[in-house]
Amino acid sequence: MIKRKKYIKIIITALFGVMFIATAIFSIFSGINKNQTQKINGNSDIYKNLSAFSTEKDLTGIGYTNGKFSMFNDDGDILWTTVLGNGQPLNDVVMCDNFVILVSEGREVIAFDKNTGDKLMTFNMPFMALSAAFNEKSGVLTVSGQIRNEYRFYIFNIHDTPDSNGEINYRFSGRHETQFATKLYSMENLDDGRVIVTGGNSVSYIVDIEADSPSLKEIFVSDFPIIAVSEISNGFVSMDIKGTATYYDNDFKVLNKKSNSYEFDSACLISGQFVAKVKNGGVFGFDINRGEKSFFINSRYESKIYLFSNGFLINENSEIRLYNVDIAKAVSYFSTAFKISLPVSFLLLAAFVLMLLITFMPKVNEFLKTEIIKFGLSLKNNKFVYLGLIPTFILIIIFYYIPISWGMGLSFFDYTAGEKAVFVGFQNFAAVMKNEYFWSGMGNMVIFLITDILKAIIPPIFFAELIMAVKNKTVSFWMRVLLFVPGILPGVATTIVWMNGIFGNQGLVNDILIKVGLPSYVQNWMFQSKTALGSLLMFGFPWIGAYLIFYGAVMGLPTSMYEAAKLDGCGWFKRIFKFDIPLILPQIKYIFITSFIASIQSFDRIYITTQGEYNTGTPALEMFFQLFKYNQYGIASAMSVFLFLFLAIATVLNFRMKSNTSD
Amino acid sequence: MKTMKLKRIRNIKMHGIEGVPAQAVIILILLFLLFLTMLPLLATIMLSLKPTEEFISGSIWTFPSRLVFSNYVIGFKGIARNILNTVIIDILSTTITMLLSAFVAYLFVRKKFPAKNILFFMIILPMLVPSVVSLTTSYLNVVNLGLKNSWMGLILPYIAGNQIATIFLLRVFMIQQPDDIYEAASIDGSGDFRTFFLIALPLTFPIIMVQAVQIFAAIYNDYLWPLLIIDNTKISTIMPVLDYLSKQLGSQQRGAQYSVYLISGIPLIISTIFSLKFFINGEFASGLKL
Repeated sequence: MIKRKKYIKIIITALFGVMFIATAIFSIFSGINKNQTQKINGNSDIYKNLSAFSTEKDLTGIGYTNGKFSMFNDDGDILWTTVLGNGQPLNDVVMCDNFVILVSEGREVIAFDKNTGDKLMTFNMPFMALSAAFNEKSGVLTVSGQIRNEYRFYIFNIHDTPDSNGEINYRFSGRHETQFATKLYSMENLDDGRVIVTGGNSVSYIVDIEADSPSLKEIFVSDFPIIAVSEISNGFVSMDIKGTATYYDNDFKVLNKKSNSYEFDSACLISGQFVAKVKNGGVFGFDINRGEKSFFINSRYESKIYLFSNGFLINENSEIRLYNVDIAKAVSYFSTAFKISLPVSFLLLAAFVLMLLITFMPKVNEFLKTEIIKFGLSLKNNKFVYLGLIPTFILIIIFYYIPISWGMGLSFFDYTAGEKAVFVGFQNFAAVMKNEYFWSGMGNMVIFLITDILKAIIPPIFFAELIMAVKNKTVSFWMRVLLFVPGILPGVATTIVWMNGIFGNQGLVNDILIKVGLPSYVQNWMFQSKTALGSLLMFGFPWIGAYLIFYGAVMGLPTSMYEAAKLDGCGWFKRIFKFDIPLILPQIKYIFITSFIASIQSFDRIYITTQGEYNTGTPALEMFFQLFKYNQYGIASAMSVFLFLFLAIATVLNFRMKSNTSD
Repeated sequence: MKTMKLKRIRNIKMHGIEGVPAQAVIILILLFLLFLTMLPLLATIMLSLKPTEEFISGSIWTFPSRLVFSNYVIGFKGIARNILNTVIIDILSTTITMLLSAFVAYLFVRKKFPAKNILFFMIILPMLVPSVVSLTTSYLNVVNLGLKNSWMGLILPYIAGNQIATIFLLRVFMIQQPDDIYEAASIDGSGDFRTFFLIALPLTFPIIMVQAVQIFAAIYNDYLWPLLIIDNTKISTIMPVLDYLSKQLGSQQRGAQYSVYLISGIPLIISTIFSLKFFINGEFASGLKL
């Protein structure tokens, strides 16, 4: 019987061993495969100063920041070279079936023969050209351009049949002087010759190029700017900068939406996928037909990603990675597999070792048995209590323990939500050290801290004592009731009223100044470096705050002591200082600690009013900006580590001070 | 207090803090401070009824020449939905927080079990870490759980965060309750749930109300967390929308902008009226100490 048990144990041990080896091999395999890329043509020197890129079967075209363009063959030999636009950067390379279109910032858009480099067509560009899109079926070429802050786009119609001179004809179909206040995000040329342009304030336009002078027609408005549009079998699909894919029918009625928790910079349609540059790095693939994420590829910066018609290139740290959609999918799959299989194989290893010990060392076996039984019994006896504690602990672990411990680790990584964590050592801390807003905010933080604590303690105590001193009970009662009334104005509203109504241009302060006869002092107090901080500190005057706590605390003191104090001839002020304040010290400490924490947390008043300008920033606000505006999670975490250290020191000093006073 | 009253009847004092002059001064000071405290609210009421053209030039601190109640119609249309969103989220979060915390506090006060002190310490430990420190990872955590742009991304963190201080607070109050009642209940064969709902909850009710109203107001006034979590104004809570709306209405419909502030205060008015009697005497203060 015993022997049989032992055999079972040995079999289980062996099973764990085999499973461990299998997952370990799989994870090594995934680890190797997650780094595969498409083959790079030639040596990597040719990618220096790259500004535009496109490749297909056996040709690779690279444009450079000095306006140079070179076409390479499969072996990395230069086939031909040209320079466009007076040395201004080459912004886009579009590979077509018969020619290649080069787009230069220096107001030149030219089509060349792909193999020989003969100039085929020149398109007139009065403005800086940014990018181009071409549809082979319709022969429509669209080019986007920019002058200062205006964005424009141009449409050309190309007949790709060469005439007797061998030159390909093109017809200048229209030049749209369409002005967009903000970036023109995408141009999608449909097979039937229509063009969809997105840009401006989240509005998309369809261009009717059949008409003699093509006009823009607004077709749909979305919540956020759209960065890519594609035609699908039964309608259209678009991707916006907040990562939401929206499906439309043929009349642009919204059918459904799929959201991804990313922020995008730009996107491109590549082999049935929206391939998007993620803000702060990373390339995200969205499968249009399946309506779901198809891949994610790491990269540190979005500026070094180049999307082109059949793939994308990442050029950073003198390392060039070239992907097409299939490779990107495989890489994405294997890195996920690696992420899962590595911990699983470690777990299996641990289980294997444990089983080894149990099988071959009876002492360990016995010890574990008794301990497990003990633990199980105590769990069973207190089942009710432990079950009752489960929800609380799940919530605290998920929303406190995990984020707090994770935050320390994250400060060493460059991170994109859910996908990317590149170890960067102390780079984030170095970035924080160099961040002047963070450090210049420290002084403000201390100022806010001190004044907030003073405001939370002194006026409320004074106020509570005043109310206590009122003999008439009815007056005292109604005074307290009325003091609840201002609390009905929400915090954000109160802040805005203080900003506009009191310290604003037409505010009360200026009003009083004019009435008093000091019109030269009239100004917007919130938006000036000299007065902004002071104004912010005055918000909420006269700061009666949590006076009720002090009121209640003093009321709770035994009345006999008051009688004694009065008999001793103790006056009102003397009684407050000698008698009340020492006795309500526990409540004062409570308010001290809560207002200390609240002061450091509450940057919302600054965020709503000055957004940290005019010397009112605090470290917490700067952290919020890194998180919310720039999506720099690693840097934001490094900032919270600094903040935490500061707070820890402050707390230790606090407790010391307190233990000294109580001695 | 009773002796004071008796004295007042006996003789009218003319000096000292209870004397008539001192009382008059005190009441005057109080009225003045009350006026200052009320000023933003009074201003909002006045401005919310002003026609737009009176905002354009000169001082806005004059009484409106005519009362424009249509400002309230515009304001209400703008935010009714967001107020409803917030109230639903808020009531759910507050109710669950209070029930859960009261139950956990009850367990810690009335039950003996292994590792009790360690577990309690684990619950209150996060209080020592200000939430701003873990803001980044809390946000990423919610994103990775797939709760971005969902109400659960607000409700669950609200419960998780508010329960900590509430458990701490309610425990202090429950310890002060006499053991005899609970012993009697258990002798009479009352189960744990029964004891909790019929004895522990009613005895702690005033402080539960005080804390609940404070949590309600805090969640209602929360600005930054919903700003981070919710992108879509349709499902957003009120505070981020309030800021956004005030900028949008800012130039054209200034009066409506101020009416929005008042309308958004309605749930706070209701909750204040509800809880006034628990607050007004300040009796809750005895538990708020460190």
